Amino acid sequence: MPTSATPTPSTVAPSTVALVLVSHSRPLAEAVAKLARQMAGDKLTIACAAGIGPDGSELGTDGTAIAAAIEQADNPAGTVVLMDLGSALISADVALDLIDPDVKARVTLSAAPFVEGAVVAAARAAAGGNRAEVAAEATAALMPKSVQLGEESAAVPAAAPEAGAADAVAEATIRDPAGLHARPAAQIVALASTFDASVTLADITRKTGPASAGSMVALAGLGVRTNDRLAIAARGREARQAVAAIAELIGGFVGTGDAPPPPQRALQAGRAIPVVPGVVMGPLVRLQRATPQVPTWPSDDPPGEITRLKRAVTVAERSIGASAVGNTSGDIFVVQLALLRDPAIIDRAKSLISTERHNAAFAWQQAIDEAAQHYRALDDPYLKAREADVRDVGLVVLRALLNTRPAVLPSGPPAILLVDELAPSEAALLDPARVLGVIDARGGPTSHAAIMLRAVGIPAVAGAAAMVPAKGAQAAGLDGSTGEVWFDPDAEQCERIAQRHAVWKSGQSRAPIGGRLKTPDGHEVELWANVSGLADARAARLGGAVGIGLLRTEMLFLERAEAPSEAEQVTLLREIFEVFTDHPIVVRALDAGGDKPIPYLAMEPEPNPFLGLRGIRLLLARTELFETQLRAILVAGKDHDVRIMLPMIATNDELVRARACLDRAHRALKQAGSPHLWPVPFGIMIEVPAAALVAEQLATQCDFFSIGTNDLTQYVLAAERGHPGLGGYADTAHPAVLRLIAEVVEAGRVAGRSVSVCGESAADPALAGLLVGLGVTRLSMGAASLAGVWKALEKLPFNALESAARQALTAESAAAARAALTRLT
Amino acid sequence: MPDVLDIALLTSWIDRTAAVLEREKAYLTELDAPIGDSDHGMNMARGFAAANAKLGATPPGDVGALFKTVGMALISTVGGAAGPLYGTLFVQAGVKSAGKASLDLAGWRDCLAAGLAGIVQRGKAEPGDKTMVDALTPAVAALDGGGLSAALAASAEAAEQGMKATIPLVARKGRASYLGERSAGHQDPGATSSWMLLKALAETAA
Repeated sequence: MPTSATPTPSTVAPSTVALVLVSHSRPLAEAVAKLARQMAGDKLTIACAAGIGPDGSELGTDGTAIAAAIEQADNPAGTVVLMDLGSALISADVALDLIDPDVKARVTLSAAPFVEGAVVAAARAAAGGNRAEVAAEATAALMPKSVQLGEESAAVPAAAPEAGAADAVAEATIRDPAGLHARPAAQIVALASTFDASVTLADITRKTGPASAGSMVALAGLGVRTNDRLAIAARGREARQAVAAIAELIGGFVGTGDAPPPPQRALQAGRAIPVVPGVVMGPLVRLQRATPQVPTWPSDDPPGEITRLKRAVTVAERSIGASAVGNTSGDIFVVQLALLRDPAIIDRAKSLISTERHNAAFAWQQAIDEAAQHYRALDDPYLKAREADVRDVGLVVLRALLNTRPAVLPSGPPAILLVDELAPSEAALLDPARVLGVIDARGGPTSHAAIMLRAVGIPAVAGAAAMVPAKGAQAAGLDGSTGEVWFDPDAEQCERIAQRHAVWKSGQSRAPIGGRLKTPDGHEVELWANVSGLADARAARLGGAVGIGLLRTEMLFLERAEAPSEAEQVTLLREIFEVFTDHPIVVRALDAGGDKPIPYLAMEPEPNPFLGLRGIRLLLARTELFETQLRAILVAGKDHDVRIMLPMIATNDELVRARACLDRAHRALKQAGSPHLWPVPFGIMIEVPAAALVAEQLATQCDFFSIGTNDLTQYVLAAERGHPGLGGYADTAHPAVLRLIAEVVEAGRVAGRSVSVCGESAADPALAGLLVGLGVTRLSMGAASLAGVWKALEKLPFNALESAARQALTAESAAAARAALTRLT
Repeated sequence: MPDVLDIALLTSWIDRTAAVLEREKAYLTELDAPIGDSDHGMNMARGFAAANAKLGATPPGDVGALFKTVGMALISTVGGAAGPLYGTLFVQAGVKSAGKASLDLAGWRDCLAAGLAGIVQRGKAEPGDKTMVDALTPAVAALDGGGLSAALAASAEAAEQGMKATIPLVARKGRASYLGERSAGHQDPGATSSWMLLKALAETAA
């Protein structure tokens, strides 16, 4: 056995990770050990296995010597092995096969750079770091050097800006059938940015990455598909929290409804791609876009150009943020905001300004082109479609830089819009009352613009380029379910389209007239709408909802650097209230928490956010934020039928304290002489089982109840909805949940408080009947569900629903409870 | 012409290999110079000399022990990547042949195949990466029956073909890969030593 192993004969702290240095050169290893020891003192075991030949004087590595060094260094805290290059790696690998398996289990071979890695590993080990931490620190050791030499900004989109793993690591599996598509990626980017840590993701299954979790573009480059395992690594003060939070976020991705790309149907000749069903006909107008002319002149003031660029990005953020507030498809804008802040784009543009002396617009355009190319090159069709989002974001910034106005719709009567690749930022501006339908020459069914058109119900087709006549047509018709398009239809075609339109409309207008339906035996049920933004509100109004049963206000607060001012909130709320003028509107106070973190609230990441500081608990911990929102609601609610609702109430005391906040908000407005709504009905969400059980007490302190069946079901059954391993376990039809609902209804009836349901169960035609049978008279749901629920309920007599509900209450399972209703139909 | 590879024959194979490598170390080093670190000849000669000495000092009781002794000697004395790689080949072959007094053709084929698999697993190289795998892979495939001597000769010949086929390749593993395109046009030293090993075996068993 060669003599080249030289463990240091010093006392070893019992739980200190040891280092083994493997090098071709004995002097090199010994010198590195000396450097490392400067960081760590004598307490650390550092063993060298280096050189070959009888006295280790020749260059080479010896697997048996490495094995001996590892065994000598071995201790309960384990060993991290650093190697120089080439055969050192293979010999160390051999050594692992030569040592005791128990010892082997405590050894990590580190891919760290030899010198840098040894020095930081020693420091970390001496500081009591565990084996994973020491190894992670070592692997990341190249980063300070890269930063020092300015290589950081040279990162290409697909690469991680920072090297390697770090202080904390975790794994998570992607369950979303669409893989890691743009919106979840944007959520990861947003969440990662809230921690004082640099986070990377790597796809273990696909062996791609690591990529910076700060960059959407980089994350897209991982090519993550469903069921891939991801490694999350973070470095920095809050590395641990960041990794835990992101792992949890990823674990919660279970598909987002619209995300899985619908299989592209084979196109029939002469047809476009069906995007949003509906048959419409009308005058044809073109979306007029002012294409910004990007100047090519070089700049002699790079810092000035960078400032201009930053300012334009801020303006773009604001305009995209504003669209987000008025829209259901808000998270599409989250994607756009994330792209806007993506270091792979913005840093690239800045570096083009400083190194190539490009002007801001030219540099930005080039950075956008590169990122767009990057997306286009991906083989996932859904991610590929994000090229349009990149270009759209690019355009918004360019417009801000060059002072060009966004696309405008020509004024006139309602019309069909012809457009070449509708951008999401443009789709957000379309008013269903003015746009009958959309014919997109390009685009596709999975574009974000398509999702937004679907949300507001504007019939649309895409990929119609081949059908668009060269000469300008005056009128057009389209069938969004077949992809048929007619330009300047003749009389016969017009008649056919009109017929189909009538059929479509009649199918549609089974939608509730006035939102109040009567069962055949005369029992009245009101259909209200859940709304998150302006476009939603319009769709709900068109759908005939009685009122807004749940106005979520989270969109006002998300994706911003700081809390919205009172004035800003007033403006945004007023726009929505005006859509429902003279109709009741229930505004829910901010429902945020660890599961929906808001960066500027500096919320501590929680191991169990659903059981933590969220909803009313957070509002009462941040009364300034809460009272600002209450004042905004009261001011905007002046002259409207607005009611305020509190999320997550569990105790009477919370209600009392919240009312004190409301009173303070009122007094402040009164003192300032601001006209506002007063008094205001004050109600609560019943979503915590405790609240349901003491509903009769809570009823004395508030004006109405709205049952949030989503959370109530989760909390009652201790199961997450949509948990991949639990199937349909968390089913609102479970008799335990139904019994609680029945108790709340009874408590409301006795105290004379209205009880509505605003969870997804209200939108489920199969469950809505049970809820009505239990005595719920108000169901609040997304606008898209109104017609379906109406249809399901209008034929069922109330007394039959009541008896079905009675059976359901004593059923043995959720399935049996549902069956009680199915028997009626 | 022997029917089997017994301990005496295998021991003289190692002895012959040590002599060949000592004789050819300048040639191997010459091959290694343009695309490696000029140490392959020296390393291999040193390693097999040590292995040969070990076998002389403690004669093995079975084929498995023989291979294992050679493997461990190579691991601890070669120094370059060839050490742990050839070491792995012999250690894996030793696992396959543990307790055996001799190997017939099928037994040898199992040993060499296991050794090659070990190398591939350890070095993460594939055929075409310009490594010893390019000589060993066809050598295993050529051991497909017939008389032992003839099969070993065919195996050595296949290794030679594989070795020559590395000349135009661009290296993808090891230090030669640092050269990228410039590694093309040179015969791989590892593939060459693999051929020398198998040729020595064929000669010993002729």
